[in-house]
Order: sequence, then structure tokens, then C-alpha cells
Amino acid sequence: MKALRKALRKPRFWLNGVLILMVMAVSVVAVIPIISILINSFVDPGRASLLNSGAGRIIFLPFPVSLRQYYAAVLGNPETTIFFWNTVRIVAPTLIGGTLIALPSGYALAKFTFPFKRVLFFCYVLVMLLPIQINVVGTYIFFNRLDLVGKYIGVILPGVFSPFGAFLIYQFMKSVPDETMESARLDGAGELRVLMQIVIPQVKAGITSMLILMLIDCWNMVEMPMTLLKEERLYPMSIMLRYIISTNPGIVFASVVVFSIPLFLVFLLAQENLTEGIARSAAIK
Amino acid sequence: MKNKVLTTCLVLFFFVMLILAVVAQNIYYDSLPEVVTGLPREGNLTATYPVTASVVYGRLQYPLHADGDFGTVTLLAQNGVGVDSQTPIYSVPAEEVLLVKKRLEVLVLDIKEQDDALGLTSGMSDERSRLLQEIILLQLDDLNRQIEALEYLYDNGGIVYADYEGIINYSVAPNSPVRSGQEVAVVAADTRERFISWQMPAEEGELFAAWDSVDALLTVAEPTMFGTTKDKMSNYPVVISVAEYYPQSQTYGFTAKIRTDLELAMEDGARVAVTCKYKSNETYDFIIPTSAITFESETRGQIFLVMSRQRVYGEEYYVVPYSVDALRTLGDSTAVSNIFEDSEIVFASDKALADNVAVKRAVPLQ
Repeated sequence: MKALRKALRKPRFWLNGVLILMVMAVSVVAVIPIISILINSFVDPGRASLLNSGAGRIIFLPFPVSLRQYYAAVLGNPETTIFFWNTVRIVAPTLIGGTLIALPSGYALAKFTFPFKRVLFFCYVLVMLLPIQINVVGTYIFFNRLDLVGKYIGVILPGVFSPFGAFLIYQFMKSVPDETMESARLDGAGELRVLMQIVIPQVKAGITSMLILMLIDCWNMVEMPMTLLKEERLYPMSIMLRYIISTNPGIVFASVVVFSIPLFLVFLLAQENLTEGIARSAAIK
Repeated sequence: MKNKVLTTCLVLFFFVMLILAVVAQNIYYDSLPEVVTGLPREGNLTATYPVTASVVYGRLQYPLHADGDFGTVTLLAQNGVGVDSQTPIYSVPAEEVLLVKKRLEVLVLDIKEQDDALGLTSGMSDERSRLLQEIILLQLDDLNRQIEALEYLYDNGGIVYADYEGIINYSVAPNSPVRSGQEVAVVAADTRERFISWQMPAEEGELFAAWDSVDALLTVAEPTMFGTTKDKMSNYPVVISVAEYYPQSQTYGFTAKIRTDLELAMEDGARVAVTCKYKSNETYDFIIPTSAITFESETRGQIFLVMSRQRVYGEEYYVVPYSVDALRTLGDSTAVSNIFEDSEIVFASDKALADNVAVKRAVPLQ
């Protein structure tokens, strides 16, 4: 009690309290849409479409609780699952290819010295910092020349060769001691073996966070597929949610929840590595 | 442990989504209306009308008239049964026959006496006399014929026999009196000709006329290699010989004669399935089933055309409504205008259709 009275007299206590309240308020505001979507996914599709049109009231308790929206979204509308799998068809090769490219790229940038290394690194960072909307036009022109527009490979390749993955791996590989690599080389290991058996096991956290960040980026990708894919039937779910809102607004909440479940599960699976990865990616020299 | 659970949940989620992707498409596809489609055909309008006809045996009627006034007629055969030639048909008392004959002979004598008395047969030359003379001669001939018949009847004991084989039908009641010349019985003799007879409603019957050919399912006795016959049912073309309209019942009656070379193995009155096929004289560019049209008026209707579009799960068929002019409807077919030659048309659907509704196609008709 005495300590509390003492603390209350300090202005810093009140300042911290106000800051905490502000952060809580912002967090609540940020979380409300997500909770609202989850709640509204358990209402009848008719009510849900009213909410979408703005005619209904915002509700915080779904009563009566109904799973019809999920049934309509997943079983009643075959397009939902097909768009979902379109997303998986883009994301899975991007992650696999991106990892295969990022690992040796980051390793080379972190552990080797070669001419124009700093220039190359600067280009990596520059491209990474440019907004995607600027890259899209050039990418479209380039891929159109290669006749890759309208195909999934046209969307996958920019993700595979994205500099972000290499940059993040570079950040993690910098912390790998050179001595471990030298000792492996002295034992007769080649560079590939050094990478696979010495370096990679030490940067598993970095690889995990890279995968998660790439997954989040690819899963929600909108500009690239919309520009590079001509046919609506190839679009991923991130684009087609807008189509579902306009054609079948009663199932949009359930569709969003279904679409978000894999990201949610992956986040829970690797949230510790994700935190470290975000911190490392922010440390741009 | 937590990671294992989450990994299992993730894998399970993708597995469930994979299954749901297939199930959802099947559910959606099953919910679509199933349509039978086809292309319009060119040619004549045809219609087929199945009817049930009756076999009719051709018969000649031979009436038997009384030769005089008799008090009682005894019927010797059963009504409606077949009789052979020389079968006793009816009888009258012999003494009455003799009496009638004698009276007629007296009458003949009276006429001759009158004739002699008036001197009409003594060679008078004017026209009136000549005509009177002829009348008398005719009367005498008729009386003499009656007398001859009565004499023959008397010689037969008053029994009248059938001259032809056939079915006997009596026109008088048993033991009733008859007048001279009154029809006592009729023998319907089989002519060995066979007909089929049927009726059709006016709107169908007016399409057919005499000399049109129809198909009749007849049972015919065909000879076998062992010298016997075997009944065989088959379709044979028959030509309409009589087409008659009955205004009271608003129907058409048809009779067609069966070829005499066919040994018909069917009883009189047996039922026969007849198929009447009509083909219009005019040819039309677009003929479609009548079931494909939703009529708005007698000459205007709506059909559904099948189009295709690309959807997420592949090519999908959908329907759009289209107005057509109905030129002529005949049975199951309608001639229309105002459509394109290669338009795929919905002929039938198991559910109601509307504009832009997705459908699934049954086996297309040729």
C-alpha cells in the first residue's frame, strides 16, 4: 500500500499508464474487425448479406448460431475451395523455390567476398524496399515478352526470386561463426556440404521465419496475380474474396475465416521464430 | 506436443479442404437442372398417331322375305350363329302355304277373266289399252312367280332353307305373323374380304384421307416348311378405303381393306394396333420438339438456347431465353422461324429454367 502510494506520486507512473491504455485501445480497435468477422461467420447467410450491404446492425453475439454460412461457403459454392487451392498452387511452389534460391544467395552474401558484392547487396535492399506496385508494370512487360503472362509460373517466379528471403537469410547467416565452417572445410567438406550440414542447421529459426513471412506475403498477394493472370478461374482466394462479396455476400465471412485458418495455424506453430525474424528483417544496415 | 497438435491440425485442414473441393463440385453439379438438348432439323413436319382399330369381316347380306301372309313363323336356327347352305332357317304351316297359293291362282284367274271381259287383250291399239295390257301381263308374271315360290315352299313342307353360308339374323320374333314381302331373316355371307375400322378425333383425322397408307399390326398365318401354318404378328401397310366425318361426335371414321393375299389369323372384332403417320407437304427449315417451346400465344413462343462459359471449375453450360415464331405445330413437333441453324436448343429439362441458369447436359439428341 505504501509502495502504491509512492508510485502514484510519480509522474512516470501516470505516463506509463496512459501509454498502456492507448496501446490497449489501439489493440482493441485492431482486433475488433477480426472478432467481428469471426462472430458474423456464425450467422445465417441472409443476415450476413444484410450486414454486408450495410442494412444490418453490427452484432457481437451471433444469435441464433448457424453453421449454414460455412456450409454455403464450402459445400454450397464450389468456387470457394477451388480459389483456396489456387492460392495453395501459387504459394507452395513459391515457398519451395524461394527457399532454394534464398539459402545459397544469403549464404553467398553473408560468407563470401566477391566483386561488386556491396553493389549487389544494395540492389537487393533497394528492390526489397520498392513498393510492389512499381515492380508490377516492369514485371508484366518482361513476362509478356517471355510469354509467361496468364500462367501460374508468371506469378510464382517473382516470389521465388524475391530479395526479401535472401536478405533475411543473410541476416541470420551473419551470426554463424566462420570457425565452424573453416573446420568443416579443413576436414574436406565442400561448400555445399558446409552449407547443408554446418550452416543451415544453425539458421533453422531464420529459415522458419523466412518461410512464415513469405507465406504471409504470398497468401495475401493481390497485385501480382491480378496483373499477371488473365483468367478469372486462375485467381487466388485473395482476389476472389472481392468477387464473392459482390456475387454472394451471404458467405463472405465464412469464406474469410476458412481462408485465414492456415495462416492462423502456421502463426501458432512458429510465432517465436516469427518474432525473431521480424526483428532481424527490420535491422537493415 | 503443442507443435505436433498444430501440425496435425494443419495437415488435417488441407486434407479436409481437398475432399471438400471434390464434394462441393459434385453437390453443385448434382443440383443443376439436367437438360436434353438438340439441334433443329430441316424437313417435313411429321406426326404419329397410334390408334386401336377393329377387324371387320366383309359380309354380303342376303335377306329372306316371306312369300305370302302367314299366321305363324317358326324360327329354326339360333340368331347370330353361322349356318351352312341348305340349313333350315324358318318354316310356315304347309296348309297355309297351299291356301295362299290357291288364293293367288284364283287371283290370276280373276285377272284373266276381267281382262277377257273388258276385251283388253283382244288387240286394242290405243296407248292406254297397250299400257293396261302390259300392267296385266306384269301382274300375272309376278303372281305366277309367287305361285311358283309357294309351290316350291309347299313341296319343301313349308321350310325355307339358306341359300348361302353365313351368319343368320332374324328380323321377326318367333311364332309371329308375317306379311307378304316382309323380311324374315338375313344371312350375312362371308365374302373373305377383311377390313380394319377405327375412329380418330377431328383434329387428327382431318390429316388423313382415302388412299393414305397406315401401318397395322396384324396376326397372319404363315405357311411353314412342314406344311402347317404358324401365326406371326407383324406390321403391314394398309390403304384407307373410306374416310368419313361424323359431325355429331366430331370424329373421323376410317376403314382400310387388308390385302387379300394375307391369311389373317384374327377373329371378327379383334383389336388391332394401327399407326397412322402423317407427313406434311411443306418443308420447314427449323423443326423442334413442341416440348421445347413455352407458348406465349398461338404463333409466338420462347425457347432456351444453351451457351457455354468458363468458370473456375471448368466449362459450364447455361441457358438464355429466346423468342421464336411458331409457324405450325403438329403432334410432337413444331416448325419455327427466327433461329440460327446451329443453335443448341433445350428440348426438355427436369427443373424450371430461367435466364443465365447453369445446367448440365444429358446425352444430346441427334
